[in-house]
Amino acid sequence: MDSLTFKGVQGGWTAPYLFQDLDLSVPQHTFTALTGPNGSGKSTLLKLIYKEIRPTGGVVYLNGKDIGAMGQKELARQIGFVAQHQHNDYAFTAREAVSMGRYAHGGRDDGTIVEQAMEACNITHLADCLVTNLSGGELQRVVLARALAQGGRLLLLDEPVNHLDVKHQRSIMKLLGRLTGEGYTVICVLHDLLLAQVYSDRTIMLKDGKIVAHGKTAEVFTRERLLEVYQVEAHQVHDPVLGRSIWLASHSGR
Amino acid sequence: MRRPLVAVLAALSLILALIALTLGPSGITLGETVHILLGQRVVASKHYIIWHLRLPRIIASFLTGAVLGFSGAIYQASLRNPMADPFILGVSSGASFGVAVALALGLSTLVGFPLSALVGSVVTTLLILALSLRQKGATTTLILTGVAINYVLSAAMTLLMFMNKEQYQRILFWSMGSFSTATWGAVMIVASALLLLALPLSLSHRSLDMLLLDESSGQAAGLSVGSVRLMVLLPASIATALCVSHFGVIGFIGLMAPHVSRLLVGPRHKRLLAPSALFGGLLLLASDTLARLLLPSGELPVGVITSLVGVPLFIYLLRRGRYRYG
Repeated sequence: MDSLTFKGVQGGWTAPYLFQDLDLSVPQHTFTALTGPNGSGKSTLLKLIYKEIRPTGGVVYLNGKDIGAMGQKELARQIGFVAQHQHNDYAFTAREAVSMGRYAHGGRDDGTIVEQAMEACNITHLADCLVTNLSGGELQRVVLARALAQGGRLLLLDEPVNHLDVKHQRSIMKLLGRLTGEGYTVICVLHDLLLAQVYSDRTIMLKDGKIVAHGKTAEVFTRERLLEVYQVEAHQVHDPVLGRSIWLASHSGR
Repeated sequence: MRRPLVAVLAALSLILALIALTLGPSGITLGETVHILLGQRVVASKHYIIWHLRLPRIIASFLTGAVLGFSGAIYQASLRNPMADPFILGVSSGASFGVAVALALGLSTLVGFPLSALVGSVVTTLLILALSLRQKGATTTLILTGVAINYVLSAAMTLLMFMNKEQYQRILFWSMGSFSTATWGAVMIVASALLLLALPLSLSHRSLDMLLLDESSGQAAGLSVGSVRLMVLLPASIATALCVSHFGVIGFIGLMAPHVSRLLVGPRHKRLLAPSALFGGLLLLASDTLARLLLPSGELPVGVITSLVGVPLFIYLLRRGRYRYG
């Protein structure tokens, strides 16, 4: 069953809209990487799902229901979102920050769910720390826990590991993989094509607001497609740990 | 921390109010003040001074400070900007412009300073909100539009004052802020402003917390960011406009009171709003008392005192802790 479906969606920040007549289906319980060059519409596509941008045409369905007919809180109870840039200017404790994910649930601080979300993201020991004192990796886990606390099974993430070192990148990506196994549907914007190939089941590749390819990650990544979308040469290498080949974009040549 | 702090601030406010009631050139003792407040017989002139001159002034200054402190917390949250204060969206420049226009057109005796200032500030704030709220990156657009409109109105007011030089002093004195004209009627208006502000917005403390998130995260977590921002900014602006229209432009309270409170109780609005209001009230009452007493004859503009006393205290508090808005 599909978790998310776009039917003939038109939308973007300003006219002429980036997306014209967009059709897309994302199956449940999959980890989908959303890739494409800068300006291709990755973040905008996420904004159309959590309604920061309203479509000017077409319909977005979540679990079969038109999200246009849902209130913002009703929608929030079915999704979770991790933004590209985190603001940690205000000295909330990690627990307070995670409990903000319960806003759409009628103002109840549901302690058990908040504790479970923190446990899932391995931040229980940080519960009483101020977010202003956390490292980038710890903060990202707090934000992910807040998204889980929203209670939805669709997780939207906009470049969640961009500013993290390799160790923290791996830890967050593995956590997302584990959540997929536990029944979440994950849609994750990724600039890093290596991460997309290693961790995602499926990939949507965008260019100029159009879906160039969508399917199993191993099938989406080809030399021709990377050249067409990113205008870079790519070469295939075998990863003995993964036991399969992955495409690496070349930083030399044309 | 919150409850003891609120209790301490409330007790300090009462003590300061009693001292302020007693202090002045009329030689009224603390005992006489207490007797007058308890309704016991004393000299009629002293009774008049306490009940009709000092008490409305003290209550008006405290409540105005409370409105400015409370509104400051609302503005800083809804614009997600630590530099925001209740005057950033044109309340002060609009009020001053309203007064200048009324004077220039000879309407000031007909409509009075408060009404012309109120109309000026509300119209300006609504204009700035209308110009900005539907834009991408609304908080930045809102602040920049506010700054731009403030400049335009200041220039227009300077032009009006230049063309009506004889009125220059009246506008200037009004714009510096004073509680010397406080009446029980004005107290009722400022008290209504505080109620208009505090009752609904205290119940919205979770939404105010959510406004501190980035816009996308707030929206995705269920906050209708644009509508909530408008719903909290409007009462804060109108309440501030009601105060400014009666007592002029009093700077710095709305900026400082929320920051000092945040240092002590953290950023959650459930704990922050009451101390912000009480700090604002306490600071403005203290400033007005000094403004009233420092010169042997006449008064200092209260805005001068709020800045001269408030800024060093603020800088000291900022340097004391590892302060990052919260």
